[in-house]
Amino acid sequence: MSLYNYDNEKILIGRLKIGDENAYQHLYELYYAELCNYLNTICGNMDLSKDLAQQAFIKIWKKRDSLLIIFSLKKYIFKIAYNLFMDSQRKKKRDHLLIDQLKYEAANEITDISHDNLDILLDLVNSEVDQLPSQCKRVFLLGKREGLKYREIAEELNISIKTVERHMTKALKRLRKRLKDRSGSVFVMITLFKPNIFLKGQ
Amino acid sequence: MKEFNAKNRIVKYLDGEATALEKKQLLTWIETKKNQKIFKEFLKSQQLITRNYKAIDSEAAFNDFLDKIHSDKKGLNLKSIIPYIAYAAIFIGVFLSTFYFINKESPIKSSLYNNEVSLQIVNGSSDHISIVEDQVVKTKAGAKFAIVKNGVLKYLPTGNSTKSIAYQNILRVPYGKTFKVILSDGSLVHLNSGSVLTYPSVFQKNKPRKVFLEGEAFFKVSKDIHTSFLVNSKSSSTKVYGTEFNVSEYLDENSADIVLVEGSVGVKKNLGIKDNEPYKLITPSQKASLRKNAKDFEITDVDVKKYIGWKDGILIFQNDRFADIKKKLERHYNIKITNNYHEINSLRFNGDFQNDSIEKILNTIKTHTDFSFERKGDTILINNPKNNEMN
Repeated sequence: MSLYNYDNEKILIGRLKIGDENAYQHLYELYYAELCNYLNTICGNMDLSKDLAQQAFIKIWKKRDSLLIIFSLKKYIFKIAYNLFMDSQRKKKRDHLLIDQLKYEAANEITDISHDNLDILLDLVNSEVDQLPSQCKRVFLLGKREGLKYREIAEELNISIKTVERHMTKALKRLRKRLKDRSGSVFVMITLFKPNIFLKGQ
Repeated sequence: MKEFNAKNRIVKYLDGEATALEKKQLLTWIETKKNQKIFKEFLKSQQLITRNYKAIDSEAAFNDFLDKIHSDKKGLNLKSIIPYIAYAAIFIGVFLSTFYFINKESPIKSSLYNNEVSLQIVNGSSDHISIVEDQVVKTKAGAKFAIVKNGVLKYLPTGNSTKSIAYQNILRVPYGKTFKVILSDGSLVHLNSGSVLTYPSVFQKNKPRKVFLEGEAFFKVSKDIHTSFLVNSKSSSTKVYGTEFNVSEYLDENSADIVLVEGSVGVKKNLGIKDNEPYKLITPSQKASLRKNAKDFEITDVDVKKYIGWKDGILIFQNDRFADIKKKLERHYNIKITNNYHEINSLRFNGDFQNDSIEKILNTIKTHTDFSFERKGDTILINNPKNNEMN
């Protein structure tokens, strides 16, 4: 449809600079979903994440004349979004610095996983969920896929909230173990090669 | 107490279900390097799960982006950020609000029929006064004790009426309206739609100032070092220590929620006269939630703005189920909504609306989830759009 090879980052950046809307569309296809997930790991709120991601793209649009991207377009956008997040938090009392830091680290580690490896991990999630005991699986899917609160799951299945908690914990423990065992190498690799210049503080 | 619980805490925390105490415990647990590693592994698992189940619509986001960059002025202001915290700080006193959704069986409903704010003075004569214009409110004997001015009902100060007998007053606000009253001690109460406040015309000296609330209200309580201020609802009791907070009780949701904006308040179950339970203190931006049949309150961190927006005519939905939004709209607009499209009841929506018509709000929700609706007088019917096509 377009005349430009947006897959070439240099060309893409050039088109972004002159305000080519197709280039922005390409940018959305490339990074929007991933950026939302990245922010969600950090702030734990998908709606806020979508807002912030949107703001980041708009910021790029507004600053398009002076875009100066040296390292990588992706890291540039993610950094803008992260800074927007930090700005939004500035006014809040920040008493969970350590937790925030860990979320930030985890988000970066996941973002650095290649798409192929990510697919492997997602397959693992699916197969592990399939193997959960039936009631545990039911609770898990109501929570994760349908987005119900514990209380709502409890009402839905006519069980206690404590039981919901237990099933959720069980499911997550199994998933974590599985992902850790099977993907150890993936995560280790990332940790070793994580470019620290990326997004480190301000 | 250790490893087992820790994982449960992590999972609850990541699911947004942890209580303030559990969160605190987690923060302590997380201090060691080893535990940090475990926590991060859970974080990553959680993230992969989210990616697996939650599709993100890039195309919709891009269209939104196009709208925004093309409507420069309005579009770049993504979401109006309301300075609630600054606002709350202006008040030296108490902010309190209680929700109470009046169900069909409630005797209160019948007295809300006339769609006017009404005042009942319980002094044997059971006067009902409709408050529609500025007026002076007198007892049957002719003693003046309150005035209505600019739509605010103001009781005369306690000071010059020490001898007055304290009559119980019952103030009822119908659906679709809000109303302000200033009590005899100077405390301001802003009542939301479908709410009832019971209080004495004059507070007794050196006795706790007690009011009873069904529904939702904003309280700005006058400080009085000699007496405390108590807000009781059907299931909860909130003691004000000169602060700002928010109590909410929806009967049909079976829970009472108290949200503290600033300072500190104590909450406990309302067990009647004989209870000597201590009050449980909560800190700002915390919500104490008491579910029906629960032994005690559960305390979590919340975003307070959601709970006070109505005061400024703002409806705020944050990850709320359609079923709950529907109830809020019914109260706010004094309208009946019949939803025949049950599938959307459990879908969640976000949005801030100020002075919008109900049609505008429903149309906004419609852009995310298709349904059809039509208004017939005071009733709105919601249907599955597919059924409509077949008809």
